[in-house]
Amino acid sequence: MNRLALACLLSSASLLTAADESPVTFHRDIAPIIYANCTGCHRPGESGPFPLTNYAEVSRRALTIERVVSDRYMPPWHANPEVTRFLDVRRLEPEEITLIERWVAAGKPEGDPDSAPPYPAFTEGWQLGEPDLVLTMKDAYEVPAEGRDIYRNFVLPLELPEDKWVKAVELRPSARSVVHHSLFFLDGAGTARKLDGKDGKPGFSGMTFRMDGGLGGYVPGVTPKKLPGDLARPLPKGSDLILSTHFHPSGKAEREQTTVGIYFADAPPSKKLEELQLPPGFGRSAGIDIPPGEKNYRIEDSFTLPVDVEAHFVSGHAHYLCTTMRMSATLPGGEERILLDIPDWDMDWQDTYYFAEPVVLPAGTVVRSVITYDNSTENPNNPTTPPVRVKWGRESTDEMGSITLSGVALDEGDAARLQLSTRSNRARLFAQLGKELRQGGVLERLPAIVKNLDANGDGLLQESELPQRLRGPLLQRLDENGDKTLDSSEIEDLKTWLETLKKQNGA
Amino acid sequence: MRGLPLPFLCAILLLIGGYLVPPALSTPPTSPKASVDLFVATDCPIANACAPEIERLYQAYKTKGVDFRLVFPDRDLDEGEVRQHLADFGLNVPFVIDRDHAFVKRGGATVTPEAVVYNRLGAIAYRGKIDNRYTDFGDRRITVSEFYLRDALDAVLSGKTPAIERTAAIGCLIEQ
Repeated sequence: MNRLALACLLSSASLLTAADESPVTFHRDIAPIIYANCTGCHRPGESGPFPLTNYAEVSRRALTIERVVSDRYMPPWHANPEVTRFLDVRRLEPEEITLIERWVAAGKPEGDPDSAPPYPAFTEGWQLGEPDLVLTMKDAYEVPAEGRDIYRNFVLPLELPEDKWVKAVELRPSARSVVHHSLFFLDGAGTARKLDGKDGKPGFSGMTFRMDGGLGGYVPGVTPKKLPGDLARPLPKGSDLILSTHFHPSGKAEREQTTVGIYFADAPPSKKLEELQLPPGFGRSAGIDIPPGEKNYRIEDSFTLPVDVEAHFVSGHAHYLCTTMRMSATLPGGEERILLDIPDWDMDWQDTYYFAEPVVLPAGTVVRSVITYDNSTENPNNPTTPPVRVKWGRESTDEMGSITLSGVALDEGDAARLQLSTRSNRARLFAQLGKELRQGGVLERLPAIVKNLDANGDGLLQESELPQRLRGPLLQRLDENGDKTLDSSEIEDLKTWLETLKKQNGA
Repeated sequence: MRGLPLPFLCAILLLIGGYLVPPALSTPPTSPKASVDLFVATDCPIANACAPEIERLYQAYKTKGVDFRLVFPDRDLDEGEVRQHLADFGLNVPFVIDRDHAFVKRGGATVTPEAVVYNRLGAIAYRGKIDNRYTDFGDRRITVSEFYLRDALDAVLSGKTPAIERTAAIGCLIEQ
């Protein structure tokens, strides 16, 4: 047996040596790696800055390719694949990186074209086929040649006569070199329309509109995907689609007029997709407040699942100062599973990570997220020199931080309980809001705030007049007669409640 | 000296000029006080992101006696492509396509964008980054706080050695 093992070892060792000594050529060894991992974006009409579709193009950029694959800047992928298995991982195997290094060291030999794999049949245009609904920005937005990154929201009125369910949204930018990524939000109250174009340019900046949900996002390098199974995201009639787009000035002034394709589901999903955002409110509930120079600021949040959950995908959101993100699940038996580990957060690549297999988390599982920040000068992404105190906020120079786990109740009978619990998770935002309200002297300003919210001036606060994110919890707590309107006595209750919060927070 | 006839004076100057006067002083007064080779590429995003700063530097320093030259170290590039690129990015800087890498070898450039500053003696006074816009691939500073090339040019123009003579440029590697 030992002798056999030794023989095996020897023969495999000699095989390895033989393989190591054979010359690495483009067609046989490098083309398969490039076609599978790079050419999807690096081809005409896509977002890569130069094409990598043949020997001449790859050879012309070989040293740069070697450099960016060696330190894993490319292909872009920020989640640690060692601890969580994801779908469509854009990451090279160590052996593939070694092959590229050996090819460059050997002088980039071309080899025999007959040994090349066939050039992949890439889909031109819409990656998911003809969309059910195609929308284009009314006016082009001008991106200057240089300057800070730009975050801009664009309103696309959908004018849907009925509720729809969305399987996927695909984005086709007109100026790919400057569109870095885009997130899709819904606004059912027309608040974004009011902000649109106020500064004389298409769209508006800051996440200052009412978000009534989202439809995912677009990051270059990600092949658009339809939600698995019969899952779909709700798109209520009357909603506007808000493209929240991040631009990188490219050195050349560009005009961006994005086209969006929406793919609808034929029928409502059998299970409702729930989102568990930790900490809720894109991190607002954590009361982010980072002192200048602080190198390791940390927020943490956890939530216990009330029912068995089947998790499908996970995504994070934060701004420039964030450095790491991690979401873990401690199962009732004590076993720990990492759901997302981003050891080097990069605001540029805000991806949605789909689990290779849906992850089943039994009732009682504690889901925990930990997010860290570096507000020192050593963080090259720090938008301010010298660093300043940074708090939670909607501008990109403010900070946010949350990880969102998306999934369904494993057992359909538990769906309502799961929905209730994700709602109560969002409502935890209240404690922080109460604190912020108190600090902002809201109690004293309450009459003015009520007057401001009371758009029709009838002295009552109708459901539609309440801020969307607070609507449900406010009515749940204060609307005693259930008429979806806060009358003067219920507004008085709000005042009493704020006073209680003030006492609880030990003002 | 006032009494000497002009031809005689010229003859003396010519005689000693070849031996005693340093080469830079012997060059005509229109000659540059410094020259800059800026190694760039048409399709390198990092080089392209620096285009507006390159044009600003060119406009600011050309009247101060600094010669600017964009160097495209690319065998496969033709002049039409370069002219189109310059028009797209609003660049008015004179250029050369360095097909045999003569400029690359002379300056020791390894990436685009990379700046090489020669003093009036033709010695390399500075080589490296234009500024600290990039700290690594994909790591772009929000606030540019170091202007290495500008500082080097100011030093050379005032006859000094730049405080920082070399920085490690970040960008697309120049293919051999």
